[in-house]
Parts: sequence; C-alpha cells; structure tokens
Amino acid sequence: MLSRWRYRRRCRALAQDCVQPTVAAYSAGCVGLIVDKLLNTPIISVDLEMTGLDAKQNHIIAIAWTQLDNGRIRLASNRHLLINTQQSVGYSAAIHELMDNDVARGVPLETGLEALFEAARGRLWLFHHAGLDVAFLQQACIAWAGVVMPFMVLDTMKMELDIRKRQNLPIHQGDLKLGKLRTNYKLPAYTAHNALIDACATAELLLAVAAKMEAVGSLNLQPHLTYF
Amino acid sequence: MPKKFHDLSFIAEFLHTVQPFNSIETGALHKLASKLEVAYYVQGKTILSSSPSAGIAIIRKGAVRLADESHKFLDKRSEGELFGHEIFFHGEKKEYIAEAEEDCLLWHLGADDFEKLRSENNLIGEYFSSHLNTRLRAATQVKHNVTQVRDLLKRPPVSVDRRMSIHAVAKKMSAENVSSVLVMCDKKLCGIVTDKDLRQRVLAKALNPDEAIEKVMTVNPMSVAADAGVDATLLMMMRQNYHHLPVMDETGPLGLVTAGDILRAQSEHPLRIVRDIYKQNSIEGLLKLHGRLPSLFERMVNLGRDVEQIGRLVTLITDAFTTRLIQLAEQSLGPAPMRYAWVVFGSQAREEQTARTDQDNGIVLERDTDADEAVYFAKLSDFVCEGLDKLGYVFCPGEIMALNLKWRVSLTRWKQHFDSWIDEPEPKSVMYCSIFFDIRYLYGDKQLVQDLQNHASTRAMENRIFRRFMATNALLHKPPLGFFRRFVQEDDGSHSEGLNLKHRGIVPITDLVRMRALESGIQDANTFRRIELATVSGVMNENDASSLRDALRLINRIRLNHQSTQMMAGEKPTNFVPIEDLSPLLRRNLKAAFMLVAEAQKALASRYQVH
Amino acid sequence: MDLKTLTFLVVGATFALYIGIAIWARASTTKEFYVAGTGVHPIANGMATAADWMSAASFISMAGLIAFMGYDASVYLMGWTGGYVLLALLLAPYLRKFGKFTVSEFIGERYYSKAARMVAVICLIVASITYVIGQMKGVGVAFSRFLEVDFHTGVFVGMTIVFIYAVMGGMKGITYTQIAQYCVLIFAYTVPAIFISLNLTGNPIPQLGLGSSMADGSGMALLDKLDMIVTDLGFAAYTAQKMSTMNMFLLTLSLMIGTAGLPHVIMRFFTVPKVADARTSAGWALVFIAILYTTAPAVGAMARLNLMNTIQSGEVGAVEGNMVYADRPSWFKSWETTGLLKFEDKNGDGRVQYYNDKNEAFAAKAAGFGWQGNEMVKVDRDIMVLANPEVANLPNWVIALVAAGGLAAALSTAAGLLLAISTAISHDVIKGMISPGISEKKELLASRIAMAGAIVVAGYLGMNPPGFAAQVVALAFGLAASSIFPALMMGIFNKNMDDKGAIVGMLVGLLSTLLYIFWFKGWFFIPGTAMAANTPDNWFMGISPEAFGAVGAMLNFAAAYVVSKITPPPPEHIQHLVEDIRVPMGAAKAAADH
Repeated sequence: MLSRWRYRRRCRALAQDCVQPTVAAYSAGCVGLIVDKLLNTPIISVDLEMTGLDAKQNHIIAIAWTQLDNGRIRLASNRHLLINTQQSVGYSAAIHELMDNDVARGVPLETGLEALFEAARGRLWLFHHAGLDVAFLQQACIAWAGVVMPFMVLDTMKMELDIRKRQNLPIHQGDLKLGKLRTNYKLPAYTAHNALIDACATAELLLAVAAKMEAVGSLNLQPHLTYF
Repeated sequence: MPKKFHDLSFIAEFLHTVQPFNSIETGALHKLASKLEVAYYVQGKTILSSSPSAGIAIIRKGAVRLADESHKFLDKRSEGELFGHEIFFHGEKKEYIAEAEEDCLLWHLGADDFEKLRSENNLIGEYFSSHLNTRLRAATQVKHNVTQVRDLLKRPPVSVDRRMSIHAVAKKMSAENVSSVLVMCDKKLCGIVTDKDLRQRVLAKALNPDEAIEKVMTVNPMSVAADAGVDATLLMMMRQNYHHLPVMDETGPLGLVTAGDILRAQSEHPLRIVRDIYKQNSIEGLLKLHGRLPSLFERMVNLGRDVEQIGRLVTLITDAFTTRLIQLAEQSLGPAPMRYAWVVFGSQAREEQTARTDQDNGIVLERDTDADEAVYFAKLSDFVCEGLDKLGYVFCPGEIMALNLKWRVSLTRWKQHFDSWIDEPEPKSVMYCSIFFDIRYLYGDKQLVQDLQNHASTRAMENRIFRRFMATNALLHKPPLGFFRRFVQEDDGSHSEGLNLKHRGIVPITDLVRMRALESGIQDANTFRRIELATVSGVMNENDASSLRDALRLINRIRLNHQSTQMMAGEKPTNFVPIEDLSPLLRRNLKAAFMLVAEAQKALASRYQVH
Repeated sequence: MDLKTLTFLVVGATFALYIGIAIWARASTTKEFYVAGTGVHPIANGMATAADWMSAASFISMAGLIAFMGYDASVYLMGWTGGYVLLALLLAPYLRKFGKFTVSEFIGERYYSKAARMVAVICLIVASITYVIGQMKGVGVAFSRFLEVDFHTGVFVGMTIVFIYAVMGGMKGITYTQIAQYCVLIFAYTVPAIFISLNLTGNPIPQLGLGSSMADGSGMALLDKLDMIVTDLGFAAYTAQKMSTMNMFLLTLSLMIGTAGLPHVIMRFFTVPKVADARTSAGWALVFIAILYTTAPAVGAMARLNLMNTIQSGEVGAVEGNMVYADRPSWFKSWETTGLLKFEDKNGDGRVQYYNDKNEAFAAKAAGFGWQGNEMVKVDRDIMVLANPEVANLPNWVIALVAAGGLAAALSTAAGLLLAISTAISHDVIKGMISPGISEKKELLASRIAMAGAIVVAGYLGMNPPGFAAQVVALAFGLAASSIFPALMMGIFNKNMDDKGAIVGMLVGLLSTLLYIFWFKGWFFIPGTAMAANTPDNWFMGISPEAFGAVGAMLNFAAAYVVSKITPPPPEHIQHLVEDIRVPMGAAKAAADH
C-alpha cells in the first residue's frame, strides 16, 4: 500500500513517461483528480469475475463497471465485458454462472483493460472489498503494459468497517458482504455474482453509505481513500 | 469491439412492473433503462423543491411524500411509482415538493430524455398528458400482461440426475408421459433433455443408451422466471426456437412450459368457438358448445384481456348463436316471404355483454304481413328465441323479443313506434328508448335497419324536449356515493350486498354516453365508439371523453374480476362487490371514477335543466 | 309561543316537508328497471305548474299594487293571466312540436341564424333577471320582517338562501315538491283572506266579500266605504280609472306578450310526456292560478281598508281621530325596524297623520287641522300581504303561515328562473357561441358563476328599486314584447318569414321601443337626459313608455312582413317544418296510418 504522496508521484511519472497512451492518459487523470464530497467526485464502480481467488494463478473472466457523476449512477455508462481467457472457468462457474463457452465469446484481456482504464480516466475507483479486485487488475496491467498501475480507491466494505469500528459495533462473519450490507441499508435485493449487477449494487451501496455519513455530518470522502 | 452482455436487463425487469412503462416493448425498455440515473436520499431529505421538475423519478425502493409549498401532505408514492411530472391531486393540478419519507433509491430520467420518450411513445405520452384519470388508467391496466408462465404450469417438473443412464431417463419419460426432463447437478439445474434430443443425439448417432444422460443433454438451458409474462415468454421461445423452457423461481425449477401449453392457453380464442357454432346443425349441438362459455369467460378475464375486448368477444359469441339459430330456422321453414332484418338491442347491440345476460331482439319487416307471412315469422322468431333461451340467454323480462308481436313489425310501424316514444315520452316510452336506441343490425336486409336508424337518430337529434326526458331518466341511477363522498352499499334488508357496480356504475355511464349519441346523431351503439365519435363531432370535450372512458374501464374491470372470482369459487356471478374486497388503492380509484360520473351527471342535469 | 319562534317553526316545517318529499321521490324512482313509473296526474301537474307560475310578485306584490293603485292595478292581473293563457295555448304546443324547450333555441333554429338566437337569448336573460328582482325583493321583505332586521340584511339573507337553494337544483322537476309548495302557498294566501273577509263583511269567501256590504252595521258596500275613506284623506278614489283606456289596453297587452317567453314556465309544459295531458294540466293550472288571482283584489282592498282604519281611527280633522304614535300596534313597530315603514312626526303632535299632501286642495284643508304634511313618509307596497294578517289581528299561526307561503313562492320561482338563466348563459352563450370545446366541468362552473352574478344583480336592484327597477321592468317587458314575441308568432304562422325579415323586425321593434322609453326616461336612464317630461300630455297618443312594447311589436310585425316580401323565401326544409309544426301530433300519426 502506498501513501498518498507516493501515489501522486507515481501518477505524475507515469503520465510523463509511459508510452502506452491509455495508461498515460489514465495517470494524467489521476493527477488532476480532487476528491472531496460524493457530489463533486467522478467515480467508477468496478467488479470483476475471476476463475479463482489467487491473482497470480487465476484469471479475470469478466469486467463490469458503471460510472457515478454528481452523486448519481449513470446507467448509460454500464459496461459488462467477458474476457476470453485460456484457462477453464472450472468450479468457479458455480459462483458466477459463467461457463467456458460464454467466456469464449469474450474479448481479449488487453481490450478489456484498455476499455476499463479509458472509462476510469479522471475517476475515483470504487470496489466492494477492493484488495482482491485491485490485485487482479495490477497483475493484469503488468502483463498488459508492464507497469504497476496506481489506484486511488474507495472501498464500501472498508467504509462500513470504519463506521462500525468508530461506533464500537460488533462485526460478525459475513456481516460485511455486499448482499448483507445492502439488506441492512434497505436496498433492493439483486442476484449476486453478476459482475455488472455487483458493480451497480456497490455503487448504490456507496450512495446509501455516503448519505448516512452525510446525515451525521461527515461529507468528505477523503479520509476513506486507500491508495494502491 | 467489446461485447456487451445483458447490460441492463436487471433494470428493465423492474421497469417492466412500473406504470406506464410496462406497456413498452423490451427493446425500448432497455433503451429507457440506459437513460436512467440512480440516486439515493436519506429519510427526510428534500428530493424536489418545486414541481414539475425537469424530468421524472421512479421509486426503486423506499417511499416519497409529496407535499405542497407549506408542507401539507398531498400524496404518498412508493416502490414502483413515479413523481416529478405534473400531478393532479384530487383532480387539481398542484405544484408540489417531494421528500423522502423513507430512505429512497430513485431512478431519475432527465428532462430531454423524458420529453423524447413522451413524444416517441403514444401510450406513455397519453399517460403523462392526462390528469385525474392517470391513476385510474394505471389501475385498469394492472391486470394487463400479468398472466404469468407460473399459471400455465400443470405439474411439478420431472427431473433426473445427470449421472442417470439415457435408457433410464427414457423409461422415466415414458412412465411420466412427458416429452422433456430437467437434468440436475447437485440439486441445481444444469441441463434439459427432450424427445428430440433422444432422437437426434442418441438414436441417430447410435449412442449407447447406458451412457450418462449428461452426455446428450442441452447444457445450461435457457430458463424463464415464474413471474414472466406469457406473451413475452412465447415471443422468446419463438425467437430462440425453443420448444421447452424450464420455469424457475428463487427455490429452483418449478416446472416446464412448452410452446404448446402457451398456444393452447391462447387457443381458447372465442373466434374458434364462433367457427364451431357455425358448424352445428341442431340446437343440441349448439347447447354443447354453450357449455364451454363459462370457462371461456373466466379465462378471458384471467388472461387480462381488456374490458372492451371481452364485451366484444362475448357479444360475438351471442351473435353467432343467434345468427346460427336464424339460419337453422330458415333451413327448416324455407326462404322468408319478404325482406326482413333481425336486430338486436341493449347490451348485445352495444357489444358489452358479460357472463349473465338475457336476450333483447326484434325483427324489422319490409311491409305489413298477410296471414301466411305472419305465421312464417311467428315460427321463425319462436324457434330463435326459444333456442336462445335454452342456450342460457333467458327471455327478456320486459319481453323485448322478436317473439313479441309488437317487436316483429314493418319498417313503417317501427318508425311509428319511435315517433310515438319521441313525441310522448312517457316513462315507459323513455324506458323503451334507452333500450331501443341501442340498436344493431344482425341478420337479413341491412337497408331496413339503416332506414330505421336514420329516422330515429334524426328525430332524436332534432327534439330537445324528448332528450330532456331521456336525460331525466339517465339521472335516475346515481353513483353509489353518499354524503361526504362515502360509498353507499346496497342491502337487501338482512345484509349488505356491496356496491352495485352495474346499476350505479356502468348503467349511468352508458346512459350519459347514449345522451351524447342522441345529441349528435351517432348510430353506433357501442359505448366506447360512441365516446370516440362524440369527441370527433365536437359534442364531447376530449377531457370529458377520456374521463368517462377511464371510469368505465375501471368499473368494468373490477366487476369482471369480481365475477370471475365468484365463478371460480363456484358461485353465481353478481354485480355486487363488497367494499371490503377492494384494496385501499382500488377503493380510492373507484371513488375517483364515481366522482367523474357524478360530475358528468351534474353537467347533464344543468344542460337540460333537470334537477 | 312568541311570533318569531312560531314563524321559524312553521317555515322550518314546510321546508322539511319539501326536502322530505324530494328524498322520498328520489328513493322511489330507483326501482327495478322494467317497472316504469306511471306519470303524474294532470291535476297534480296543474298544481305544480301553478306553483311555478306564482312567484313572489304574484303572492306578495300584486295585492300590494292593488291596495295602492286600486282599479288601475288590474292591468297586472289581466296582463299576467293573459300571458299565461298565451303561453299555454299559443306557444307551448308549437314549441313542443318543434322539439325545443327555450324560445331562443326555437328562434335560432327557425331562422337558421346565430345572430337571431343571440338576440333572443339576451332578451330572455334580461327579462328573466327582471323577474328575479321581484323575487329578491319579496324574499328580502319576508326575511327582514321575520328576522326583525333591516330590509337590506333581509335581502342579503335571501340572496344566500336562494343561491344555495338554486345550486342544490331548487328541488325542481320533482312534481310533488311543487304540489306541496302550491298547497302551502295557496293556503297561506286564502286563509287570512277568509278571516279578514269574515271580519269585515261576514262573508267567508273573499271574492264575494269584496262586493258585499260592511258588517259594521253601516250597511255600506265595502268598496264604497274604501272610496270614502281614501278620498276623505285626499287620495284618488280606489275604484277610479286613472289611466286612459287605450294605455291600459296596451299595457295589458305588453305585459301579456312580454311574459309569454319566460323560460321557467314554458319548461313545465314539457315535463308532461303526453300532449293531451299537457293540455289538461295547463287548464287545471289556470284554475289553480285563478284561485289566487281572484283573491288578490279582495286582499288588496281589505288590507288598504284595515290600514287606513288603524291609522285614521276616527273623524278626519278631529285630534283624537288619529292614532297616537306611542300607542302604535306591535306590527307597526316591527315593520319600522325593517325600514319599509317610516313615520316622521312633522307637526310634533305625537299622532300619525297619513294623507295625500300632493293633493293641493286637500293639503290646504289639512293645514287647517294643524297637519304639516304626510307623516307616513314610507309605506312599501310589498309589505301589505305580509302585514295584512297582523293588521287584522289574526292569530299568530296564520301570520307564520303567510311567511312560509311567501318564501315558498319566491324560492321556487327564483330557483327556476336562475337555473334557466344560468343554463342560457353557460350552454347557449358560452358553449354554443363562445367556446364550443369547453369541458363539462368548466360549463358547470360558468353556470354557477352566472347564477351568482344574476343573484347579485337582482339583489342589488331589489334593494334599490325606486325608479331604476321600474325602468328595467319596462325595458325588459318592452324588449321581450317588441322583439321576441312577433318573431315567435311569425315563425310559427308564416312559413315565408325568413331570417332577414325576422332580424329586421326584431331590431325595428327593439329600437323603436328603446327609443320611446329613453325619450321619456332619459338616455340609458341617466337622469336629466330625457327629451320630454314623462307625463301623459307628452306621450304619443297617450301611450306610456311601459305600454309601448305592444306598439313596438306591431312595428316589428310590419317591418318583418315588408322585408320578407322583398327578400327570397326561406329554404325549402324550413318551410316544410313550419307547415308541419301546425299539424297536431295525433293528426300526423292518423294520416300515416291510412
């Protein structure tokens, strides 16, 4: 994990030096990005489906995202890309219900990443349980562009954890799962483990969490950021 | 080019349950979904500080309170409802603010997109441009499209384990007498096998029948949610060329639906029975067909066909029975000695018949009859009316039937009948007029009926004094609203029977619309078409027209649903609906409908100075 | 029980009766569809028609007019009765045959002209509002007396109640309510008359009592006695004819033909389904109307007699011959609170002198008695019928009954007229000409506003009657008589009359009458603009402006006839229509049967 300062320095360096145009443009966007309240911050909510949980061995098979502007999710920005990977989906299919033949219809990983970072330019990343997804993305970026991509991330799971810690609330196993949290926030129930639905679900959860935080007076997202 | 994968179906799915978007077809619905923006509001937050806003908002979750500038409550909107557009509260357009009554997840549609949607889609445009009646219209459409595939399932699914041998599966299919089975992998659906698969993938390839069934199954078959609409499902099956479709809900597969099931559900189309009617050569044959009517009616109501259509279809069947009986009579009696026409009156003429009905008919003759001719027509009408009575179209208590010598006369005498009613509108004449002015040609020489209609409608149009008597009569049946607009239930002395939706809902509207027809010389008898024509000819204001139309649809819909429930419970259908049987929303809508009728009656009273 | 409470009770009871009947009638009509009602008997319908016809003007004002104008007031009796007969015999059957229930509609259709219809609508609205003025005045008098308030307050109360009553639909069309109203009204009118007639002449039938001799032992005929009393005080003899015969005739004619088009009564004839029954009930209605109309002269004369006797209780000229103001009876006091009766002690003797100080000869003589002018500075004619039972010292319940009768008469007529006016404005003018696409809701609103407007206008004019109202009455009846009536008659009886002839005729009639009225009463009634003094000497052939409507009608006939001769005849179908209209209904059917 990087400090904010190191993150910024890497962004600037990549923006100047990187020959891969998408990466350079993305990094330049990171430099200019100012995060304060939800209303002013452009965000991209992302969810991935993988063949497993190990970023080194398993592959990304689907990338989905949606964008938030002015505190609203723009459904027009929804994208769901299946990634054509050589590895079999194996048992993970039981979770995401994507079969090998579905995946075979997908696009190459490079194309997917290019589209993703295009969409993420000038935006704050949003994940639910960011660690796993970011690890996969960084791994993929090394293979794709040969760089360690900088990420400034908002994580709904971490936000909820912070809130609960601050309020000294007990946390049980599974409490912080996306579906469970959404139920707590009285959001509609969605089918889990469809990357796009999860990305949207996470975005909605952010709206709810931010609104709750706003209600108790804290508007700024800055304290909740994580840098990779 | 990155490939999209069911981007917005989870949005569209919900939109499909929202008025008025449920009338949009799937492609357009996805387009609409992509225009939406999601926002979240905590309880108490102001969502809208003035209205109408630049667009609309759909409540995905939570509830919204609409209030006026002084924060006085106007209305509450909850999941699946809209706000942001111009809203008429109790018939009055008001500015409003919106606050989150609970934490809300809203879908916003921006102004430009909203405008575009309204202009591109007539139904949507109409929904938003009407006012008091919007809620009414929404309510009348609730039943539309709600026939779910769930309703078509006849039995639990036959399922097999994926490791079962092909042979065993085939045996099981024969034993259960099904053409397809679901293949399960650890209690999860993972495949489907049909007769066709066994033929093509096993027999044709001479595969060993001891192999596991998973070798030949269609992997991960497409399935349909239990609450999906029948029409949509059929469409999907036809597009994808599937014949069998597993039906799923949260718990797993519920059963299988085949294209045949769906087609059969729709094949009870009344037109089919009409065709059958014309094939019968005896009353006995017709009687047999008649037995199918109740289930047909029930089916139509449950399938959510629209009210106008049901009336039209039921009448179509009555028409067919009548026509066939006349034909049979002519066959046995020989050709008629002169030109004549069989006419129908009342609800049959209006094409607004429902389950229970009696016969109203007559014969228009070319000229007066001599003795022999009189006998011929007496026999003819006796055969037809008796036949109809046996078929359940009981004799008219007012004896308005061709069987009655009075209603089996020459064109000239018919005209005299009308003249005398119009000149001296005694109560009985007025009563006759409210039946006989709803007249429709059914069989024979159309010109005779046309002459009669021209004569009668011209006379009525010219004579305002006569129409005043008709207006007095039209005001006899008032909507069941008492003081402070409370519902008035009928009671027979011992217990409350409920709202009389026919005499206090449908009859008043029919009467009001008949007045408009008399005023503008409209000869069509159907209430909805009369409204249409009256609007075109300018006697009726567009708003008044759509108000009455919506009110009629709603009341009819409630009555039909009630009757179908009664029939399913094995009771005789009635027109009395207890208030307790209605949901609060429906009650509110019904009250709004009755208020529209009361208002139209007041206007009629003022127009003719009847008080 | 004091009078006020009793009055409230009686008035309340009659209203409860009307409402009860309305509810009962409404409930009994929602019976099985095929069991049609049997209709109303012609006698009953005749009573209902009579109730419609007899307004506050008939009930309250007519006897008052007679009491003060004497013989000359008989033009109103004759004019209004004649108007009714004209309506029943000459108009209603043809309009019915034509299928139109307002005169304006008939004219619009017959002369295939919107302009003609508009003229007719406006004339009728003006004539109807004029009629409502009389009702408002009557209601105001009744309320002010029995609430014991100022007359103006009484009118305001009356306006409110009439509005509510009319918006509720006036409970019209329910024949039985009308019958009940007729019964209350006629009972209230005749019972006090019988009592008074008994008191004065010993004859219980007022109509006969009027011609009998006094029961006070003098053996004098009642009318002679009255003549004597009034001439003794300098008034003109009660039975003397003050107008020229010609003027009386024309005034009667104007009233007659001016009344003929009033919408609310015509309507009554069209609520009877059978033409024969309509005819019979028109006849019965005439009988029922006659009961009141023939009683009115007796009531007027006896009321005047009682009033004079009360004030001038003894010898004219003797000090104790005049009533002491401090000892005045209670009815005198209560009418004073309304402002309709005013006393001013000009010579300061504490006694009341009521005489004609305009009569110079008598005024001089009176000065000799120490009288310094008429001290009854205001005696409103309209209080006579209501005050009559009190003046005659009849029991309180009779007095209360008269109040109920007056209200019944005023309310039923006012409501009927207001409904007709509001429909004419909302349906004929707004929907028919200005905005055809208007929604029903707006049409209803327009009719309510029109109704409220008509009530306000009528109420205002009811409160400020001197001069102005009388002029409007003259104008209204003059207009109706000179414009509508000839057009109607020619529409029915002359198939060659065309739109141009009718319009020119209407305009000639209208303008000549207007001109004549303005000539003597000032342009647009603005004081001081009159071209000649309004005296019989200046009048053309001695015809008063009020009576000129009949002359205007003749001019109308003449002009229309000439114009229709020189313009092309009306379209074929209109000619057929006119021919057809005069063939009785039964005859047409009989012809078709052969």
